[in-house]
Amino acid sequence: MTAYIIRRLLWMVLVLFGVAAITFVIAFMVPGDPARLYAGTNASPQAIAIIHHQLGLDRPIYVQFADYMWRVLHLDFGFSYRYQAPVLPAILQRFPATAELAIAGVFFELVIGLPIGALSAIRPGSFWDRATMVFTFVALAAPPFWLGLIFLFLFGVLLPLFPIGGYGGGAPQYLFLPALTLGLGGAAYYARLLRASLLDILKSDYIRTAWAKGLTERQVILRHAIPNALTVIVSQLGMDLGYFLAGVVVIETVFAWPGIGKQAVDAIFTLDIPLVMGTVLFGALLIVTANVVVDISYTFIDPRVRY
Amino acid sequence: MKGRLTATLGVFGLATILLAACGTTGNTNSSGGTPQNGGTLTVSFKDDLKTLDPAIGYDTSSWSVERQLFNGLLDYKGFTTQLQPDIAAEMPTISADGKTYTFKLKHGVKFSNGREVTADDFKYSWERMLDPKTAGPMTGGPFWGSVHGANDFANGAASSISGIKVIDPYTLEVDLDSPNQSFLNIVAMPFGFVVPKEAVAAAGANWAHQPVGTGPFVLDKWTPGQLIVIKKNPNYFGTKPYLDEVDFEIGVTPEVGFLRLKSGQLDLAEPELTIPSAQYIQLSSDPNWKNKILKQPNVDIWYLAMNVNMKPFDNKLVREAFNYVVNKANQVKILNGRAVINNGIQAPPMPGYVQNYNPLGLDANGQNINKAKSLLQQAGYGANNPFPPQDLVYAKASADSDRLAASVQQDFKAVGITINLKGLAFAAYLDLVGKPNTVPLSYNGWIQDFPDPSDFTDPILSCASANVTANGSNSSFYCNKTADALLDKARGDTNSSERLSLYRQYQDIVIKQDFPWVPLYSTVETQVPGNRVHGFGIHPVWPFIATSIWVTGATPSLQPAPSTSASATAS
Repeated sequence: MTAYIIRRLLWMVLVLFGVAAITFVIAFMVPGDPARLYAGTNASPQAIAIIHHQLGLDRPIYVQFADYMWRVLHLDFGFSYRYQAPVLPAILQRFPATAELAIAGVFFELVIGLPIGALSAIRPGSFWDRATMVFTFVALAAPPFWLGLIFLFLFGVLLPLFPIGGYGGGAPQYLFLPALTLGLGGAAYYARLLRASLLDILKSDYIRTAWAKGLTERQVILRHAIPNALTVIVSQLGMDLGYFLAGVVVIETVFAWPGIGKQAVDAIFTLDIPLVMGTVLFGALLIVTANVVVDISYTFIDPRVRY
Repeated sequence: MKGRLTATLGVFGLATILLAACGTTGNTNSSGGTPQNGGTLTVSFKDDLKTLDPAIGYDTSSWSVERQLFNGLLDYKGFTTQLQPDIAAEMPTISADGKTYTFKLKHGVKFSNGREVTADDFKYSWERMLDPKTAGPMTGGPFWGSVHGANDFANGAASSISGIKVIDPYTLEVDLDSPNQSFLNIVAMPFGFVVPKEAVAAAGANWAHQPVGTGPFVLDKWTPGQLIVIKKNPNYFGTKPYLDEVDFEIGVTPEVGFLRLKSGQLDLAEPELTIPSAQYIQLSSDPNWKNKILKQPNVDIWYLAMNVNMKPFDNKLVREAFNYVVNKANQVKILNGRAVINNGIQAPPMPGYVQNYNPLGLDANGQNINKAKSLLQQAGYGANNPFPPQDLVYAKASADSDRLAASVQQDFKAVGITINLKGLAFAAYLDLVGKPNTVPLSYNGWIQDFPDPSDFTDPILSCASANVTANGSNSSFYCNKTADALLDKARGDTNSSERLSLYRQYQDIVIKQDFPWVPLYSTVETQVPGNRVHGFGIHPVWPFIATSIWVTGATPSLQPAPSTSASATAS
């Protein structure tokens, strides 16, 4: 197990290095000069040259990359061109909003997706099952930005139960609609996943044995079927959480939620390369970490899994 | 597109002239009630500000807040384009040769740190603004270059600008190399705002986030990407604003912003920009809101620029042919009618703009397809030698950008020309169209910086603007030295009617003889204030003015970030 964890951590470093290298190269291949964008039109060549020097853009790209990676190892992610401030604090300042949204989104995925998935698997072909499938079809097909705007209009304007976007310092009434929008697609997916998994499991020999032992339906489902079906959910859940923590651009944009996803997009449009690098690396770190944690957690959820 | 950048529209240049508003309700929403003191105005911006350093900010969002925090020597009177003294005690005296301006400063004007403003502060501020180390947009280009010694200073050949002289603490003299009739407008731009040296030094690299000015408001808080709060400046030398506080919430999309505004949860959505098309359609069809929409000419020009140094546009016949192809009426329709066809280079109601200018005899749509085909044949293109497909480079800056470009693409099919659309992020677009011999055909826009016709010629059509290695605003790289002589003459001409005549002659050469552009249209800015807001107006030059506004009723209760000071106050 220890050897496995060490191996995974080393792979993590390699993946992050790859992500950094690819992002760095792409950032430099994109047309546009950050110095010109910063100084604006009409800036003199002297001013542009000074900015190039200040930003270190007058050095060869490999020197810039090596320098960047060296500083990253010391937790220095550089200086944002746009905000004229260090990158890491800028990301960390926005991260709590994203984390709050991600956790709430996963919460909605679970509390909506698991019960309806389980109920529809227990009564396949029933009205409930068909209604669930229609719901999952719609929820999966609906683009989040559209769903978000519909929710804002329904529950912010027609029935003014919630604020129309904004962060509100993370207050629950501000969080509810973006988290629900974020969680609904995942909930539909989890419902289908759990339904399919449970339907398989309910046909397996050990479940038949459980019935034969005279256990109640409740005991069979809750004690024997669902724990086994959850393995696949946990795997997806970990990845979702990592993905959400890395920033949910569309939801953050629609709901004016000041998270790191929106920050990353703004950085891309303003050619703020250090901030782009920082947010991409930060996001990649979260996703890779989530994957490792999920893999390790299998050993606790399913004793059959050994590394 | 250059000059003052509007992030959303993706335009260059900027500002406006007021004159006759063409909207349903004019350009202000003065309700006739008695102004009330106090209260908080809530405003949304889609994007965060780049800076609050007046030496650097050159976009509508930055100017919207800078204007509330700083002052210059001159400003525009009310909602007009008439200049009046601001920190200056009176309008400057101008020498007989038109080259020396003497400004007298008001006594007792104080920065928000309590120190009095003197002429030294202006010399410092202007030199700082032109210093390459500050790396601002005025370090090159046409605006301040006429100040004697400014170019030497910008090039590092001089340690100070010899043309800016402090005569005494309240007298500033400025010498120009040649007369420049737009110089006072240039002085009134935010780049001319005064800043205190000691505060700049104390803030160091963080100055853009800790500005100290003389304006009616002071910065209270700026949480990047979230919120900017400005509060009434108790030391302000001018008429105090009605509002105690203005909260700018950042990162709010137009969809959400206008929903909030209609629900009373916001007072102004993106007041520095026009209402986006989707929201305009909703508001203008809503009986509760359609009569509250304010309209005013935006003083901009949108055009296709053909790079005269690149094939196939180095052939004048091709450039002329292109002038007959685009259905300009369709472009106006895509903008919900919030534009007028423009066949010239000046925009309404800029002095020098010619009403119904149509020297090429275009039809009501701005076309003459048969003429275009004939000219292309003369240029050697036809069945045996088809016109090469062209890329149309444009900024994907708003929801309308793609539709406008696609309409152009469709129009060229009528003459057998294939146009490939190349929509780019604004930064990439700026970089490419500003480089010589890079982009043959581009979709551009220019908004006035100040209300003078020179702003629509010098930065975007003059030989000086074409003679750049990068970062240019003259996307067609057009240069006609004979025509340029007219600009040189007009720049210092004190006879206003003669001056305007020179600009009209210049326009004729560009449009009727050389064809570097296909002029398309000029837009109309639209805005709608929330129900609590009174005294709001679309200013002809400034993207947003807070000092005229007062609010009635309670501040919207659902405010952002209660952890900040933003949600305090009520009217």
